Amino acid sequence: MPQFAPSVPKTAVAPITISPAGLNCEAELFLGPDDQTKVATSGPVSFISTGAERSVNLPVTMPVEGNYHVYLDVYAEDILVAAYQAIEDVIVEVPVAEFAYVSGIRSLGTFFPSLPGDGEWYKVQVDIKNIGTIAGICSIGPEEMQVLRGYEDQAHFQPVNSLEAYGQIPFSQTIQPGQTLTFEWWIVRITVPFVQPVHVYTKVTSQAGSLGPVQIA
Amino acid sequence: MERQMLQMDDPVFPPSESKTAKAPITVSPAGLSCQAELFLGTSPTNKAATSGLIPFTSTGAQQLISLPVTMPAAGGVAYHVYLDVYAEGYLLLAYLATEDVIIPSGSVGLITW
Repeated sequence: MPQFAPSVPKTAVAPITISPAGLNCEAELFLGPDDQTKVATSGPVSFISTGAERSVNLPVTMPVEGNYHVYLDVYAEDILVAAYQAIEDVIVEVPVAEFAYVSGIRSLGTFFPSLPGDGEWYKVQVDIKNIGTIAGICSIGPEEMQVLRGYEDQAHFQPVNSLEAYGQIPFSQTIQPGQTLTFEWWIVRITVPFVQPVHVYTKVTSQAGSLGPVQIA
Repeated sequence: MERQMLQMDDPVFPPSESKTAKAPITVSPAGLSCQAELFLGTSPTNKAATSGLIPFTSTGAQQLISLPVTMPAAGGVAYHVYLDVYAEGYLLLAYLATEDVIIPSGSVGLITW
């Protein structure tokens, strides 16, 4: 179903066949709740019939938000020879960027990059798709929680704040409509031998909502 | 009898519409039993629509004869217009109009934006 933004000029192209050739013809495409109410119209667009199919351009400026039926009337020498209603309506709505998680949070395992600091590094990813109608910036806010045995009462989620420092993980990305991008962050596990094991959890919030927590170690 | 050309407007009509042609016909002498038939077709032997035989009595002067025809349902065609006039059963006049009757037709394919 075609979706357009309000006040946007669009051109419908209709393959029209009028016989015989040489007739003065007019076509009008209009949107409305019924065929008596023209909310937006191309107005009469003139052409000469050829007896064969020809593409006729019918420019229409989209009306205010709503669902509209699409009607097409064709006249030959002022005689209505074709009156159509399109099978699909036109939806007019303000374009928005809308995001959705299209994967769970996944851990790619342990890494030991040449980065400052001690510990084991876990690369974590999630895929977010723009299911809206325009491009938009999606920002993620990953959090982590590390649970040390004997210190369970001190465990709580806190923002993963080392991302920008290492310059490897984008907090925000512009996602085009229909596009899916991967967001990635790193978590460094505290290594304290005498309080092993350490359990590591992460969760993420973004315009797509909250996801997690999941245990990654 | 060789068919003669007859002056006529260039009409365009919707399919299946009822229309009445008015033909000024002069048959002499007066008092003859006459009939006129107007028909549309792609040839004189192919009558797509006809008024049928409309009877009248000649006056020796011009008479305006009404010839009702329901237009053919099949559009997209330019039909020739024929007019035959009989007097006492004999074909007296056989005309072909200079202009055709046009029945337009139209169709629309898939609309794209």
